[in-house]
Amino acid sequence: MNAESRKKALRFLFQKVIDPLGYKFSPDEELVDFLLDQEVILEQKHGIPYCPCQGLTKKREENMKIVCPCIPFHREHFDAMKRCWCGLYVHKDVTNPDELKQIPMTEIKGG
Amino acid sequence: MNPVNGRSSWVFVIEDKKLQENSVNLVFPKGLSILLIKSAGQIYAVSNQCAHMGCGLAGGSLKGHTLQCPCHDWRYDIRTGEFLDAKEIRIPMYQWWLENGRIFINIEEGDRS
Amino acid sequence: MKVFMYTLSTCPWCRKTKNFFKSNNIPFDYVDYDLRPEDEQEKIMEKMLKISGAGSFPVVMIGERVIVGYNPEKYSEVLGLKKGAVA
Ligand code: FES
Repeated sequence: MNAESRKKALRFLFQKVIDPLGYKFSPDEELVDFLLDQEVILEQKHGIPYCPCQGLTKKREENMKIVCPCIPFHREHFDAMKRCWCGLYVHKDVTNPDELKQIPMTEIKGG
Repeated sequence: MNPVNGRSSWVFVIEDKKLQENSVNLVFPKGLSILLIKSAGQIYAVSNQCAHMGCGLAGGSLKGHTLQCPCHDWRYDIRTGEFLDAKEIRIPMYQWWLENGRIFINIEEGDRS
Repeated sequence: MKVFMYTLSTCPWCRKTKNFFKSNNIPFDYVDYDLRPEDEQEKIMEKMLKISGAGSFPVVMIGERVIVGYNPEKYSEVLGLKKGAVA
């Protein structure tokens, strides 16, 4: 399958997942395009569209928590940042994703 | 009251005696892909399609009331259709009706009967 | 100060992080986790989990300080760069 049509398909599938969670695709189209490119490559390699910004391990249980969209498994963390780790998704009210930071969970928990 | 009479959205799918306890039965009323599951004597009818990327849940595993997708392990409560890790996401449930040992499904999505 | 980072070849924020250090002429070493053999990945992940409790990239080490995520303000602060560092 060609990459462009797979990207479109992933967008369509993931939109349905993130919408009820209060998220949308980032308005940063260039970033979205790049990340979906990477996911298509990861999917071709592993059969699964993993997050391009989190590391795979040998443990299936852990890997399943970073399959895109991984919001359900990192809800507290992502809600605090108003974006997911890789930035593919942001809270629906976000208009300027550049203002959002990557903050590790340890810092969020620590206040 | 019998909801099935004269209502075209109700479709016969399987005989009750063919439903095994704690197993997942795939039926295709009018081309829809629906799972009939009997658990603790109760029947549940849920969509076969995973809310994540659409994998068939029929190939997944059932433990108690939890059905796990074979593709990326998303887990659902078959009593409500809810995805266990984010209850805002759910798979459609279907009403069913048992009459003379025959099970009918209402192919219009809705709350469990 | 020695700068070292764990990155992924697929992650845009890791690229931005590398670019930040390049643009500010700060030499650094890095390991692209996803391009390393499995046994090495395992060791790296173990370290990362100790540091941040997660497998999220990038992880940037500047001297003794560890910064998880793309955060040019923090990098500048730790490096003692003046405001106006190229992000
Ligand atoms: S398609 Fe079911 S968990 Fe991904």
